[in-house]
Order: sequence, then C-alpha cells, then structure tokens
Amino acid sequence: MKVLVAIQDEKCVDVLGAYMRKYPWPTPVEFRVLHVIHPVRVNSYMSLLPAPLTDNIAAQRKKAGEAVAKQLAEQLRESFPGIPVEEQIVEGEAKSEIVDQLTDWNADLVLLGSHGKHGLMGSVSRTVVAHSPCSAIVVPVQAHDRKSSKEKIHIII
Amino acid sequence: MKVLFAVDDSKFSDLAIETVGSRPWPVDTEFRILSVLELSRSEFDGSDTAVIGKLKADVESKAKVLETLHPSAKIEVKVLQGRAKDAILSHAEEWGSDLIVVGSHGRRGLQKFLLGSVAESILVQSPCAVEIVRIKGA
Repeated sequence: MKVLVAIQDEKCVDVLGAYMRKYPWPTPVEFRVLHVIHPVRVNSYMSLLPAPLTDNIAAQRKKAGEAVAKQLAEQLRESFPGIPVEEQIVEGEAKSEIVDQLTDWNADLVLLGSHGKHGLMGSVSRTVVAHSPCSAIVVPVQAHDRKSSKEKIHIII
Repeated sequence: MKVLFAVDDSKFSDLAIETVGSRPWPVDTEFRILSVLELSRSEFDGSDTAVIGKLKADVESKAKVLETLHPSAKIEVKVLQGRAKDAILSHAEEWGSDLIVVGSHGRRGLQKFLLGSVAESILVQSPCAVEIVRIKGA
C-alpha cells in the first residue's frame, strides 16, 4: 500500500505523526511525505517589487517546507523501522500538486490535515478529497483554533 | 480505537466496509455501523417498520462481513432517523469515535457533486479523522 502524506506546516507534524502511529497499516506499506511550496506571487504594477526580496521569501518557504517534511519523515522512520519513507518537495498550487502526485505515484491512500473550518486548508483538503483518484484520510488539525487566519503576512508597499 | 462506519445501502458502503475492515485492526477495536433513515414526517409516520426493517437488515449484513474479518472485535449497529449529516456527526461526538469511515460515491465530472453532500459536511465538520474510501478505477 502506497500512502502519500501531504504536510503543510509544523502543526501537522505531531497530529499526523500521532495518527499514523495509531492506524493499522497493512503490510507491505510505504510512505511518502509531500510538502507543496506555495509560490511567491507578486501583485504589483510594473514589477515594483525587486526580485531579491521575493527570492528571499521563496527560499524561506522552501527551507521551512523541507524542515517539516524531514521532521515527519524522521518520526515515521523511528516509529516504523524497516518501512520505506520518502520525502518529496514540489512547488505549486497545493490542491492540484497533491492530486497530480497521487496520480503519478499511483498512491492507494492520501493522508492530510484539515486546518479549521473556514480556513484555507479546509478548502485544500476538500478539493483534494473530491479530486483524489484514491481513498483519503483527513485528520483535523486544531479545529478549534480560529486565530490562525490572523497569522497571515501582508507586505504592503 | 473506535471506528464508525457511516453507511447507506449503496455498493460504495460495502466497499468501504470491506476495504477498511480488512486492515489489521487491534483486538480492542470497537466498530459501529450507522445508517440513517432520512425521511420527512409527511413521508414517514413511524409506523412503517418495513423501511426500518430493510435498513436494519442491511447494517446487519454489513456487520456480518466485519465479524468475519474481526471475530473478536466489538461490533454494534445503529439505525437512526433524521438528517444524515447531523445524525452521523452528533453520534460520532457522543460515542467519541476516533475515525468516521464513509464510502465515496465517486461521481466524476461535475465538480459540485464530486463528493456527496453528506460526505462533504462530515469532512468539514467532523470532530475526528474521516476516511473517504474510493476504490481506484471503480
């Protein structure tokens, strides 16, 4: 069984890790931890934002994404000795990238976290489940934490 | 772990039971199979036991499948009346389930209807993890 775990941020690490330790995986099983880096989009007239500034943000996102994917993968390697665990980082729109990777890898199951009821991630998990070629498990990640939407960063120039 | 199967009488629910049921669940797993009769009062006056009887027979047959796979597990069946999504969500909360399993009707093409409305409401509002079972190529 091929299980793709889509991870967004560090809140997912412990929740998904804990859930995966509880779940009765059939044998043989293999895991792939996927993080989709959200590309930096600049909405500016005449490209007023200098590239070095966006490059920096993109690099930070990549680094953070690699770190969370590695963190979960390490947890899984420790909890499931002998079971293959891969890490994969791609850049793009989370919804479509996850569905594409499921198809490419021919996954049997996708596991993802759902961030709250009205947040952005709710829409990612819904869309992925609707378009997924395979079964899906959606684990609530701090469903009661409504404040997370305030953590969005706005750069106004 | 407490596993709640939210079923209807479609083949997708049977597939969900077979697929998730065939996983190596630990012996102390509790299963519950829940079917909801969704009829308005005007359609159903409570005396039509045939409808309820049919649903009961359906969940019982699903319980048998699960029992063959997990002979020592605790398996219960429930038939409730009301709106499916409300009944399933409140039952999951009340019972303290760790996982709700639903079959996907797997309709393709019309984006709006890709997921059944019941499955979608459960997915969005569930207090616990939700597994949507979709068989590849089905």
